[in-house]
Amino acid sequence: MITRQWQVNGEMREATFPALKPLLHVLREELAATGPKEGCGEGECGACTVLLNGQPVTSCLAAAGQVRDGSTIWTAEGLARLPLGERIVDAFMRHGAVQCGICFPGMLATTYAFLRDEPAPDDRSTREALSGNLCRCTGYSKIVAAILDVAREREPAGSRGRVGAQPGPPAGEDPTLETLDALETLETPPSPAAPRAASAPAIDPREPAAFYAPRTLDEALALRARRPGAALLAGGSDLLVAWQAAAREPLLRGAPSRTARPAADRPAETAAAEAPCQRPVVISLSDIDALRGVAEEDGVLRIGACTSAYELCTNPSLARGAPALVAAAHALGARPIRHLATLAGNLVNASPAADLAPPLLVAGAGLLIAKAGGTRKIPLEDFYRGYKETNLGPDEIVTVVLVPALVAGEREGFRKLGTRRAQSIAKVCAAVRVRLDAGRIDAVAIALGSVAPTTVRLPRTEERLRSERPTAALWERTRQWVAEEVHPISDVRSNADYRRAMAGVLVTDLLASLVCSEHGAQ
Amino acid sequence: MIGRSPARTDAREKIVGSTRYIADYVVPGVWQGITLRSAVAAGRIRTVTADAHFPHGEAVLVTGQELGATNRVAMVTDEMPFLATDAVRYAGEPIALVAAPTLHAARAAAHAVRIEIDPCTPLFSLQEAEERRRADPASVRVHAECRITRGDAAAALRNAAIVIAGTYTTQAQEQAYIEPQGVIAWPGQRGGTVIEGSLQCPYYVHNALVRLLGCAPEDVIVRQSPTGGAFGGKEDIPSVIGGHAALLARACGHPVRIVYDRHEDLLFTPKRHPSIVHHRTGVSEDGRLLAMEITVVLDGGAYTTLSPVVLSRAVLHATGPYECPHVAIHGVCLGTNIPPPGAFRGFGAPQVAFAIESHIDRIAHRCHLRPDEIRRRNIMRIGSVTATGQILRESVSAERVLDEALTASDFVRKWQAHGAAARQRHRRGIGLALTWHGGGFTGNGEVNLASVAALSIEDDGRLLIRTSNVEMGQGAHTALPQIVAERLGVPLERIACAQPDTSQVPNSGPTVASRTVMVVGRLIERCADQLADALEQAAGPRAQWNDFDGALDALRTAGDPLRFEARYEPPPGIHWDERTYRGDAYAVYSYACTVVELSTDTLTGEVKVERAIAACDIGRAIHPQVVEGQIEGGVLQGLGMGLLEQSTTHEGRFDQNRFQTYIIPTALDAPEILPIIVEDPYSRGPGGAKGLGELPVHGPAPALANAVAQASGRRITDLPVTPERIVAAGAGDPASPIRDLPSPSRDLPSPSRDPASPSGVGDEKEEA
Ligand SMILES: Cc1cc2nc3c(=O)[nH]c(=O)nc-3n(C[C@@H](O)[C@@H](O)[C@H](O)COP(=O)(O)OP(=O)(O)OC[C@H]3O[C@@H](n4cnc5c(N)ncnc54)[C@H](O)[C@@H]3O)c2cc1C
Ligand code: FES
Ligand code: FES
Repeated sequence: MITRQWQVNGEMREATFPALKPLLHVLREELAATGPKEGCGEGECGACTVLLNGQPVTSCLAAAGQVRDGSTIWTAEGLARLPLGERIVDAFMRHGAVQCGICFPGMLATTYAFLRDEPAPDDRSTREALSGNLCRCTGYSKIVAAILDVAREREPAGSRGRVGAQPGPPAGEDPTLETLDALETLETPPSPAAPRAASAPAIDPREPAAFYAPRTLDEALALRARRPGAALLAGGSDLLVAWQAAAREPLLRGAPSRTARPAADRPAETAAAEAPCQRPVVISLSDIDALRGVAEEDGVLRIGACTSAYELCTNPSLARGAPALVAAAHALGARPIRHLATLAGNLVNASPAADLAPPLLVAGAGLLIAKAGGTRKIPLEDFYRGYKETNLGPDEIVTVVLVPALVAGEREGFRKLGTRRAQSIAKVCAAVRVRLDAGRIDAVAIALGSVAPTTVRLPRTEERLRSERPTAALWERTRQWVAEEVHPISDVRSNADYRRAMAGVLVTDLLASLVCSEHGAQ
Repeated sequence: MIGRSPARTDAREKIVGSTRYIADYVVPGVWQGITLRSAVAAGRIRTVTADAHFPHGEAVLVTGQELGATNRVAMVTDEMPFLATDAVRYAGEPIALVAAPTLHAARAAAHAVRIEIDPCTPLFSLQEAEERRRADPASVRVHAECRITRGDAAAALRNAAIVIAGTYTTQAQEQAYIEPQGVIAWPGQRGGTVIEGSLQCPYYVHNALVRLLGCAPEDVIVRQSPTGGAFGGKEDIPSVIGGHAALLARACGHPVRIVYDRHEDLLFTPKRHPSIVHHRTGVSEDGRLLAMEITVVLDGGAYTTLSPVVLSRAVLHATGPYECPHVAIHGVCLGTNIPPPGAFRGFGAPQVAFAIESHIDRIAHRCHLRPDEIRRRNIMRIGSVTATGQILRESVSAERVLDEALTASDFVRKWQAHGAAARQRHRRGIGLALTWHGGGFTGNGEVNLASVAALSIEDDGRLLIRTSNVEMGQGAHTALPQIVAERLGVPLERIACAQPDTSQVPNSGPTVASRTVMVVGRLIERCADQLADALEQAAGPRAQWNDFDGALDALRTAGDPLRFEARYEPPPGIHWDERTYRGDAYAVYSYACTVVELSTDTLTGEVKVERAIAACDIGRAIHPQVVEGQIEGGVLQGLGMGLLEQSTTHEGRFDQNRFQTYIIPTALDAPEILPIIVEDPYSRGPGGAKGLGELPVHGPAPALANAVAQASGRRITDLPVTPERIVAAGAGDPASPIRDLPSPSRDLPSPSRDPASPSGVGDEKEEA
């Protein structure tokens, strides 16, 4: 058990809990904040969204042990008492936006951050902002209309444009610095002596065997050497999903034999259900500030391993030097996930559908991997060994991702076909980096996700394209080449035929658009 | 008050998070219950035992063996056990229950429970069941079967100039309420229980629990907790989960909470029935329906549950709102080894709407008519006769909603423009669907229910509406007070709805079938009339009252009863024969016309729905804003069914076990939705209102499929219309001819027909 002190809805609170307990359940069970709901426990529905240090996150996937002392947490209960929150609540009421209401505490948190940060919301950006908050009742129309209404109201009379600057401080800080005065005059909410509020079913309430939250990389490496194989916990958006799923395996009994476990996309359920899981040893990386951030040196972008997908989306050097990576980060989950998800987590998790890998593969990115004795550098391409398998040693930590920035004449892009328009895992995703010289393709790199056991480059197609003139006929042939070079499977998201065909379409679409927009060629 | 949109009374608390749903309840000493389930889809249970490690005293185990004859869930038929004891019929069927102070402890205790099952041969798919039954009718369980006959369809088909056949399929659709299933049971008096939970039908649960526990009705109390979405998904299963919790509470002596997590909820609770619908239709050259032969096959899964009623609604809506002199409909619901499907908004009607509304577009194509023309030519009007011989006498607004939607969408112009557009990669399409929905229970259902609602005057002078109909987001507890306010001319603030609690409210029936406002609202209206009469008796004619309170005082002083009840009475002249399926299937129908506009990328099969318009006639909109919300939400659920919500099984288990794989629309997937309220009052509805809740769900999927057919040149006859299916049908292939593209002008010759149609593409047959 660990004890933490946080400022919850403007009030200092203390709670004691097992380190891996999701923040959602600590809020609900230890701190009587039952505003955030559990709709899925896996980051998909957004009903649990709260503002953690100012940013919306799905609290079901935030390990409470990773939330530092002194952090600020705002849930719907508290946000509704702030001026901006009040206006949002009123607008939702006025528009008749609410039906069953279960999604609304999460909607309120997401909306608060959106209106605070977005200077000029429109229909599209509002829908994008809400895309991590599922609502099954309303069709979203009235929610969107209400939010746009608040944005309009906020516009100072007579001025147009930058609407949003005022309520709430900049992202990344306490959302209420500016409004705290107002808050203090409000009566504090009745603070029930932490009645054990009902839990939605469950958290994995078990303690990890050990939980470390080192502040420096050296400490982390020393721990890693002492406890080889310990789980490295970054944002937790893969690990917590896996741990939660294991802890909640349906209790299926009476299977004829243990060996009869089917298909790939289905976790090995019975096995997990029969034996209690091993308690993991966990090293949290989220307190190591040195692992975050982006620097540029000699045309190489150095991205800290624990930089979040949200930070990737908003970093200006990356927008210039690695636009495909930025596009991919934009396509990853929805905002509450992007604040949790880290770059290294996405790469080390080694899903064939990892969106951040293809842009890095086409850029020729490398990883810096450290252990107590020193650091090695390895091309990302060599990092993958098979389905969900990397060559990371049990005592190693990925520290930096090195990305050669785009140089003059080079262009790159990313495209994803998902199961829906947002918050979806790729059926196929593709990245291309290309350079023309004298009207011919001088250099080209192609990478794809979800078409093989790992994310892959397509060396044969790249070779065939080199020195070709970009023409419609070339794109026709390219589609074929790509289709021949990939080996997708059928699973719950799509089928092999479709994936094979779409790999070709995405790559040629990207090539055509990159080459056209640069050179006007067809 | 009717026709205005006062703020919903429950909205603020829900937004700010202070509404307590069942998982939020603080219950001292509560234990957590979990369910042990069968890993096999079909088999015989050999043993269910706790081994020596079971922590007796710290946990309890309940099995079906202890229950004996009471181990049956009271539903349409009393077939399904609370806990399987002998046969298991689906993977995930509950076999045993464990409760302990924490979930973790309960799961740990569950490791000490041994279950052994001898497997036998299962039947996993409806296609397989249909084939097997064709070979040997006795080899497949039949949950329900029914026929509707009007005229002589076989003969008329023989004589028809044109006969068009088609087969349409839909998959299971998950309700995907964001609040999972949950209940708490307290040990009650004299062997009874108190149940509180997320549910739609308090008296269903009450009935089931009285039977299970073998106690007096008054010793079971069922209360609804604020419900985070239901859509039919909390109609039948709360009886099961409520029973489970009550059994555990009785065993351990503590209150017991069972809240499903999302995996359990997605895998094992009821969904929309998968369906196969076959149509053979005879039409005249000018597009008049001469004969319809329709077969509706539903997958009823492992147990009968609500299937007979779902099937009944499906066959009764199968012709769509079109008149045809010769109709033969055969409906059958087959047993398979998947979790039993159940109620989902629409209740059988969306499946058949997809079939008929796709089919009618194909007929239009064959007859060189526009989608709106073919529909208008056959549309139900006042005086039209349905397949069951019902003469439609009032509030028949099919043509009105059609006109409203055509105008609002500029349909004809767009349809012609898209049809004539060049075949580029990105193309647009517009599609139409015209649908109907019978309000209230089918046939004699309302008579059998004999619902009672009450209105009482409370000590503080408030008027309390007492019904068992729940607020689950649809706005019932906002609309019902408006009906009373309108009738009595009192302010809304002094009227409230009692939270449904079987010890406090009469049985006004379940919150299903779009019946709450139309049927129960009417009862409440009658209660209000009784109150008005009583007040006039006590205080003299209304014109002489000083104010309402004065009149109330007079009533109190007179010592008259302060509670008014009304019981359902069927409208005069309504007759239904369940045996022959003849007569008035529903007292009245609501109508909707849905138009979907979209664009497709024919190479990737991606569909971007841009706009959806739904003109809905619901008689009278009590609260227009709530009505719009119902339409918008219903349309998006229908679009989800049409486009995204894939549901497949592997060995009888759903592959989509989480929200990452069961895909419902996000805000970015939702188009602009334009709800149009049409009001053609119904004389027996409160203020003229008809049913609304389910109506908007039916049209979007077929309208979408029709729009995709126009945009891509490919008709997809199996839902959902996925990119995979569009691409597999050859949409992106420039070499292949356009198939089934509705012709932009009636002068075009009939398109050439490709005899070898790829799978997933409708096979249009023409017979001489
Ligand atoms: C709702 C939802 C939507 C999602 N959508 C997408 C999507 O659209 N596209 C997509 O690609 N992904 C998606 N994901 C997955 C994505 O969030 C993760 O892959 C994320 O990037 C992982 O980062 P993390 O920090 O959260 O990883 P964690 O869960 O903390 O860790 C993941 C793995 O990486 C290891 N690891 C982390 N950091 C290091 C390090 N520095 N050195 C060595 N090993 C390390 C961990 O030990 C673990 O094995 C989604 C997830 C959710 C829950
Ligand atoms: S509970 Fe669904 S995202 Fe957290
Ligand atoms: S209002 Fe019910 S899920 Fe959003």
